[in-house]
Amino acid sequence: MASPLRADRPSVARPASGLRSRLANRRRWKYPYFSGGVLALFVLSGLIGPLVAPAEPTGIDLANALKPPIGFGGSWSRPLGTDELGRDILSRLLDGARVALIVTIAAVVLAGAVGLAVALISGYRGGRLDAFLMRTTDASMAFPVILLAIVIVGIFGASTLNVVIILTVAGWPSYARVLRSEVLRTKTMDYVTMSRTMGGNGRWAVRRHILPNILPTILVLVSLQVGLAIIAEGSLSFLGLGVPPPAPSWGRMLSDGRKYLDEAWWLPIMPGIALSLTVLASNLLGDWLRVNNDPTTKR
Amino acid sequence: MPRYILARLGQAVLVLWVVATVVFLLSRASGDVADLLIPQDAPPETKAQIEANLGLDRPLFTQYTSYLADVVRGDLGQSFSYRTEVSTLLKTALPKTLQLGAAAFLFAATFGVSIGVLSALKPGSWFDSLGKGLALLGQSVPSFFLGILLVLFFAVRMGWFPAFGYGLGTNLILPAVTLGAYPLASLTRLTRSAVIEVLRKDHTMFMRAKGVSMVSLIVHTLRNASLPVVTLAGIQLGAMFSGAVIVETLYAWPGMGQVAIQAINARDYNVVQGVVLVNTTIFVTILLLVDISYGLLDPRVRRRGRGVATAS
Repeated sequence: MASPLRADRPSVARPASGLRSRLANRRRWKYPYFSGGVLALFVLSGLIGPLVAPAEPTGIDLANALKPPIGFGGSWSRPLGTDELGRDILSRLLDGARVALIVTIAAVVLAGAVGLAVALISGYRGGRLDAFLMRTTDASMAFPVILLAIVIVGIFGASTLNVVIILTVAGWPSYARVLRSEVLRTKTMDYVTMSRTMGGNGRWAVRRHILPNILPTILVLVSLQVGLAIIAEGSLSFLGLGVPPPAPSWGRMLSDGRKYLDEAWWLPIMPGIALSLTVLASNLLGDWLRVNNDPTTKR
Repeated sequence: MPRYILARLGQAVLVLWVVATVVFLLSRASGDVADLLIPQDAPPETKAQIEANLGLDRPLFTQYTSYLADVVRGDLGQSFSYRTEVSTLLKTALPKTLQLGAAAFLFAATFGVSIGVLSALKPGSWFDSLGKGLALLGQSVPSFFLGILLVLFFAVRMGWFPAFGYGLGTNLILPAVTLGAYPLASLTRLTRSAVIEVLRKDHTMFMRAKGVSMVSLIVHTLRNASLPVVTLAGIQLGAMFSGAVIVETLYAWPGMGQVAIQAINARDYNVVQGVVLVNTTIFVTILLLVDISYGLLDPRVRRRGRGVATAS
């Protein structure tokens, strides 16, 4: 068994096999090509998807129902195959990207704003307010998202706005917790104390010193939260608690396609791949940002 | 220690009360409660009857106190779609969700902790890279997609496991793996970093230098690394309900999640409320147990009489 002390030794010292050197190189990549590319594609699909789609996402064509994708006997006119009503899956995916994009951006921005506000108040003011806010944050962080969705949809019904509300309520505690500790770290820096001594007020210190300093952390959080928000949106749609029809959503495509699993596997698999790739990209980008923004983890 | 437990117990009760109140207020804020309780096509006489039965003509505060009194006694009202007591309904569904959750948690904890520890012992090895890759995938592939993939390969193609349905034998395996995948991934990542951190501490280095055997070193390391892992495990266990709703829908598993989704579709508000209250109770209890286990694992917490803020 290898010594655990080896953990401290730089990995460069070891002779690298083919795979290992490639893995090591990946760690030293300058730019996150894969995740950046996938996310750019996601945003682009959301913005101009319907313009480049090969067919109407709602165009029913029963004669061409359940056609397989290219490579499995399909044709280029329907690259990813068709569903049980003959609708083009690629076009529906592109249309679904818009729903996912709108909901995700709204939820991440709102949750980020609430979380940041709580973090600034809690971290900068401190004291009893801080204790109260952090207890609330812990409790909300721990509360299951789907349970919240069940309460809200059970009472108010399913709508796009409710999805955004659910994702916001579920998302803000993560921001609040992490950013608060960042605020605590920054506010004791000499230049902040200096600025206070020289008569700068708290608002100035927050705007001029604390916010720019915690910005990298905010970016990392946003990137990771995008992935979580996409999964959550997909889960809600899958359960029928999400964005209501006729707007296509990846989660519902997956859920509807389940019934055809043994005859037309591409129905649930295609939206599943789209979802997983987007989430994977956002997780990888988050990891990359964390490593490249934090001087302590740089090698 | 007793004082510490008592304080935590007080907080748990407070959380329960807040959730019960929020559920009550939200139902009232949504407009007509009678509309929530009956099917949309019910005749007006039924509505009037329901309003009188439930005392919805009484002042809000009176309604609130009697609602709280009912909930405390365990009376969750009647289910309209099932025509039975909500508590009876949940009593048959809850054990099935617990069985699923327990199996999934066992799977996630066993593999998550052992993969995490083994990776931490040889950072940078092929096993570590494999573990890291799997953890990343586990956190990126949503459970409802993973479930479909598992059904496609192991049920539809291979025919090794049934594709859906309730049962404690082979029926349990695919749902448990689907539900356990995400907690498995996060437990692996956290255990790995927690163990690496402890292995780098001076006292561990010293033990190594003295020639302490690897096995006893791991035992000592695990206890010191266990605090953040136990926190996360507790949170994951509680959050497993979210996953359970999806997995139960996917595999037609007749647990709490299925009951909740069907209740929403049938506008069976009392059942929705019952599911939320029962789940919150379970959830708060788990968090309470996690807090108490801190005291058992870490003498410093015991002495200070309050929890440590543990972030991953």
